Amino acid sequence: MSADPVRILVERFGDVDFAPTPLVHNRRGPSDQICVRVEPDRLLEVMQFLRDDPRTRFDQLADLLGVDYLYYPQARDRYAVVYNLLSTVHGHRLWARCFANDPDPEVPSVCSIWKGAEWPEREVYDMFGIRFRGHPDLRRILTWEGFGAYPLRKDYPLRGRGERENYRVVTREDA
Amino acid sequence: MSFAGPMPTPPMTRLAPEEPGGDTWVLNFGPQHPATHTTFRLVLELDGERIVACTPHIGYLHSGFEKLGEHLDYNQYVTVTDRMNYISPMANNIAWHGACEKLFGIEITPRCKVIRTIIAELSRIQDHLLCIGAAALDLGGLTAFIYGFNEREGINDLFEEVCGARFTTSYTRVGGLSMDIPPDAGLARARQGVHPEGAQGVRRYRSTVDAQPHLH
Repeated sequence: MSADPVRILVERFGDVDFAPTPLVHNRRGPSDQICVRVEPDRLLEVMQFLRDDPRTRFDQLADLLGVDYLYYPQARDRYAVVYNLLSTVHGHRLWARCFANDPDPEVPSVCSIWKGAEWPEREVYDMFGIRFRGHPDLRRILTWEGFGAYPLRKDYPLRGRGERENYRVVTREDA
Repeated sequence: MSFAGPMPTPPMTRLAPEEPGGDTWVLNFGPQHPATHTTFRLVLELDGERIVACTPHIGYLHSGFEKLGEHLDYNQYVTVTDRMNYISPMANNIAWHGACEKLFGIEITPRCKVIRTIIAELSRIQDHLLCIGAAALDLGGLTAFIYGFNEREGINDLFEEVCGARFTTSYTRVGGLSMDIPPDAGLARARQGVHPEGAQGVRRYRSTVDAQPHLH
């Protein structure tokens, strides 16, 4: 069994408050899955360390997703990008959250650290409108380019805002 | 909106700009093509027959399942998890409600655990049968694909007996299952040992995949 990644992180970055919390805390107690908080300006530095340090060695970004905390009780920030890290060497996992806010939600892209972040970051941009600074190709991935809305934001209605109805028909003549 | 006339070019299309003096051309591949298995489109830039650039477009099958989830409760949403994984829907039912129970701190009964484990294992077998079959199919081994579907039918029959549906199973509930296994179901009989037809099916399957050198 390898060392606890959160303890290593706190040792290395003494000036950062990671606020480690269990991912799930229910009436049976806290889970052993830990989520840390990382500020956008320290994100790349922390992620690079987590991937490269031999004791943590998070060589796989298992998932990258967005959350909209609108209407969420006691939420201080509007958006979060969640990184689910997995070490295939040690077999341990760590979750990290990086928060962003309106009017210009932006976090640094981790594509330079895990190449596999490219498509999930495009998806989060497409669905939540969170921009990823330094992304090599930040285009919408699931909706079309002219969609003009961010459908997984909590204030976006279930049935849309008429994007399908207003879909412009392009004929071969004016294409 | 008129459907007459030629197919409109979707606004998503962004062809790679041709290099000055280059001799490349652009080929649209998909979104409906037998080799893509589902809706998946590639915009290929070709130099003769050599692909020099490829832009994938993956959004054609996006169904907004997450948005639907915002408006359904924890038991209703299981019907959506069937549709997320139409190869082994039971596995997705179990994963969904397993996650819910973890959030709420619910401990399920030992009997429910055992049933879910059996169902999950059958789903895994069902999934692998199609995976290997489809891989063989793409290499020209149609027989393995058909045999794989034959075995999947047997597993679907077992699922039908326990929950009434073959694909849209929606079998799990928060803290349990929608119903218990009926005492005369095939799944209950299977505890007497390996299903004889299943063992025969595996032999047949091996003969159509393992024993075919051109598939290796």
